[in-house]
Amino acid sequence: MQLDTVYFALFLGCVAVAQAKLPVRWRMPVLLSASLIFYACSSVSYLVLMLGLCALNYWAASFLSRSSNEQRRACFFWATVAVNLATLITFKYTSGLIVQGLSRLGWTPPDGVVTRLAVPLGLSYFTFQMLACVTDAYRQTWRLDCGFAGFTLFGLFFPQISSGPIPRAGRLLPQLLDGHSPTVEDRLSGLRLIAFGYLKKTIVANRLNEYVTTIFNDQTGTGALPALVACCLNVLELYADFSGYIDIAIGSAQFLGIRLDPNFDRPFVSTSVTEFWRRWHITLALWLRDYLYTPLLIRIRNLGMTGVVLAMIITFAICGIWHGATWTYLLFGVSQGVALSVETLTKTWRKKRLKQFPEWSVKWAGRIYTLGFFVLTQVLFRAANLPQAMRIYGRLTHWRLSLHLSEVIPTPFFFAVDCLAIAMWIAVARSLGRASNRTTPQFVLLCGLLIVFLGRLGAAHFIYAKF
Amino acid sequence: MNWKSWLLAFLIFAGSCVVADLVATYGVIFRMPMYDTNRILHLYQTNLDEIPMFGTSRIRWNYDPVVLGPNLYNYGMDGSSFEVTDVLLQIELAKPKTTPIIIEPEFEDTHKLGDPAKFIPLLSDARFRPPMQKFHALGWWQFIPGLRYFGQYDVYVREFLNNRRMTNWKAAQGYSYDTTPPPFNRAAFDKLVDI
Repeated sequence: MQLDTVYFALFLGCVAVAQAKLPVRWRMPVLLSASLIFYACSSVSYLVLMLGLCALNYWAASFLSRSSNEQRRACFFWATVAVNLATLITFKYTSGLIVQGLSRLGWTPPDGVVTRLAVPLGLSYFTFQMLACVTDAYRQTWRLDCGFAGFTLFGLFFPQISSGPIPRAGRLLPQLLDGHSPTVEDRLSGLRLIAFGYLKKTIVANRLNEYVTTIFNDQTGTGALPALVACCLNVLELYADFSGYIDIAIGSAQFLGIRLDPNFDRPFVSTSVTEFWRRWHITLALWLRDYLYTPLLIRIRNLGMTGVVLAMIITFAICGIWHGATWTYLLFGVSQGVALSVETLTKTWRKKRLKQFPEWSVKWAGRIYTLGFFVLTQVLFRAANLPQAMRIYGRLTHWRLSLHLSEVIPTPFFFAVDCLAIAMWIAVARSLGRASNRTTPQFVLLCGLLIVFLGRLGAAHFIYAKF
Repeated sequence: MNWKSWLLAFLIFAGSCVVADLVATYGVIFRMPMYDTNRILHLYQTNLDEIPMFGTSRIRWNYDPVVLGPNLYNYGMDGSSFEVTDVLLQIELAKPKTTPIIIEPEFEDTHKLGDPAKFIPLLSDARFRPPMQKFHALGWWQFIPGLRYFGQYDVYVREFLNNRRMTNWKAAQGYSYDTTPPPFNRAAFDKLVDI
């Protein structure tokens, strides 16, 4: 059950009604049952696997919270981490490698086999959550003090299981265990976010997808301008798609009275790549910082600045590989790590040199640099393979003056509607900030009308669902 | 919560959708004689003497029924696979007729539906649903008046504007063609004659 389907909307409505009608003590069991049903809709056998992993992590976290024997705690911790990572690697990469290997041998596995090898829904995000819990329990910065049911609900909470945001146990678990009912404010602000998320997905992401896909798959095109426009719109599409999903997830949770951590904070106003990663996919960036970058840096701290650079590049390389075992994702991760390292190394020098320029010009130059860098590196993220990415980069260097407008805009009418849709998105985003409980019906009405008249059905569901 | 505001918002939404549906159906789609939906609607008429020509874009743009005979009608459609031709054939064969039928089925590139927008106004006929389903173009909303054109409004508007712009085009017996004579380039002609 995808979050952009009407089935999910009906499901959420049923859960909200059950939550409102049943006594307060039933609130947690209702959410747990809903989460289990939601997961079972994806796959019953994988639900068993996830429950098994929940049990293992619950047992490990409770042991790590209670025990004081350091040697045994370390053994338990590393064993649990190994099992979680082994499961993730097995499902995320092995199946792909088997299919690739068989294809190279000239045997295309039937669809049924490929489906059976598919990654369980939200396994990546679930693993991040579990690793964070176990690590916090091991570091003794958090203590497990709930039952297995509560822990399972935390692991499989249905609005965020598919693609995040990645919650921290310290913030989400108490809310899930608490029996308070959602307020009218919760319900209405949740509804506004859900409507806005659907709007982003249907009128921006789905529309731009058609244009970007056409240019990226064009094997014969040579002009730089169409490629540049496609690269810029690709970033906009990814943002609209992912933040649209996040809005629906956060809105759904808020509709049920649960506050999830924000995942985006106006990333395009960032003046450096470092700042960009504080505003883009915030929960993943924080997770990487707390559970990968910092421990790694502590291990190699005797290397000084070299250690910092190494830790950054390794962290982002792993982040890239997490998206998929391809060269494009690896290069995407490494490029981000390199940019962050360069920014860190030149921080003092830049501060000194840029003092002579007006503050606004430095800010705008920083914004253009950050956006330009992200637009270029997102080509690696979008491209199906390295040759496709290289073809787009090749096109970007191929400037010529005699360019026909039809090469940049193959379908002017649809392009104009796309521009109108983007303008509408910006206008609605502004009105979201001003919307109150009283104006929620008007806001939802506006979103509904825009979705029906300007919306497009995407070729696929959310981009991040595949990670 | 203020239920009156919600009810009013819902009524405005439903009313706007129904009005937009009527405008799209009667003000846009049915006013494009060259559009495939209207050519399919012509098939529902009995037309006892008519000889239909079914097929893909090869039929659509290359077989002028006016030249071939007064009773022929061109039902060829861009990007239609055998599944689409099959549905049109079912409609034709249900008629009490004995006239010949010309078929140009596509067997090589069968995984095509063409633009699904042209079939949405016709979904009340259940025979159009299986090909739409096969090509993942069928949605539950397409059965709800007012919501059925979700995701397709701009497609219809573009087709409508294109039709309006093509003032030199003429439609006859399902076939449409440009009446403007192609520009004569003397230099190019002489070059070709030289070869």
